[in-house]
Amino acid sequence: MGRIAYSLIYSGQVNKLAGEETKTCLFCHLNKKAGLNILDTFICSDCEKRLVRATCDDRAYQFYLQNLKKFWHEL
Amino acid sequence: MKNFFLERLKLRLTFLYFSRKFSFPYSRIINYITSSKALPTPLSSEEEHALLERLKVGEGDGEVKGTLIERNLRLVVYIARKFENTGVTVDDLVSIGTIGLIKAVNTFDPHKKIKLATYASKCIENEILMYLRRNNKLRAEISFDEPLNIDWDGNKLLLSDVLGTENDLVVRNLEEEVDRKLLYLAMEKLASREKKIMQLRFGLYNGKEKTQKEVADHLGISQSYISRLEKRIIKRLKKEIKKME
Repeated sequence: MGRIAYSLIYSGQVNKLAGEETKTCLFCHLNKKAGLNILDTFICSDCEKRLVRATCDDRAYQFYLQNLKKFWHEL
Repeated sequence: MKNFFLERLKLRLTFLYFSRKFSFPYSRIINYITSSKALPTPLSSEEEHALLERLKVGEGDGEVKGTLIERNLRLVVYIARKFENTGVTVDDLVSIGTIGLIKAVNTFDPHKKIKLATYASKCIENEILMYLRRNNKLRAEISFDEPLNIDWDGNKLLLSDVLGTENDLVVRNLEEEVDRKLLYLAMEKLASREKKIMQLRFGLYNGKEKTQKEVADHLGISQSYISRLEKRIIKRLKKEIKKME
């Protein structure tokens, strides 16, 4: 049961059922509602906050960089 | 037909060569620089003003920020291209610049009388410079496990293999000390004049060596006699030391 609920939440089905439009985040790949829409790409507000705090010494910085490269390639 | 494919291949290879030479990552020479699908145009001052007003009151936060970011992407490309010759690919530069732009839009204070583009360009530049500085620092560092060479059998020659001190660096000093002690013990068995000659000639106690001529003058005897005495004394010392060992 738990697994089904989990997959429903993360696939955005719950939000869809509630009439809320969700999008998949470029970084965490979770379906979320609030965040940045840059062209056809979505960055959820949690990842956005983390990105703003990240410095180039952080391990996560390379991860953000790789994903942003994907964003540019898909333009 | 075959010629057509060959020509196409040639053209592709030439393109690849030049794109690598000028450090443009192949295949994406980059959509956003030469693409038919151009990036969104920058905001007019009225549009920007209206969006900033909405940002001030906190209305449609994500949507406004998103628009501000996408309409300033051209600025990112423009600034990133200034750093093309730094050894970092345009791909990376543009992505780093985007992080700078997102940070700029998030930290921008609409109450201050400054244009977003001015603030954003500083943030983008800073972000790229910080990355380059860190990259340069990393380049100066080298790992002990860095393979210097790989032989035919695939064995790696690591930097740690060629680094190190001479084997006898520690032992050498100890051995010298023992030898010196043995020498001084052997010296005790010499006559006082012989001892004096050795002291002066090899600077045994004060470290100042003298020539045979100087020793001869000091003792008032000839230099050839000193030479003969020296040989004889050394022979004797060797014998004495051997006995002690």
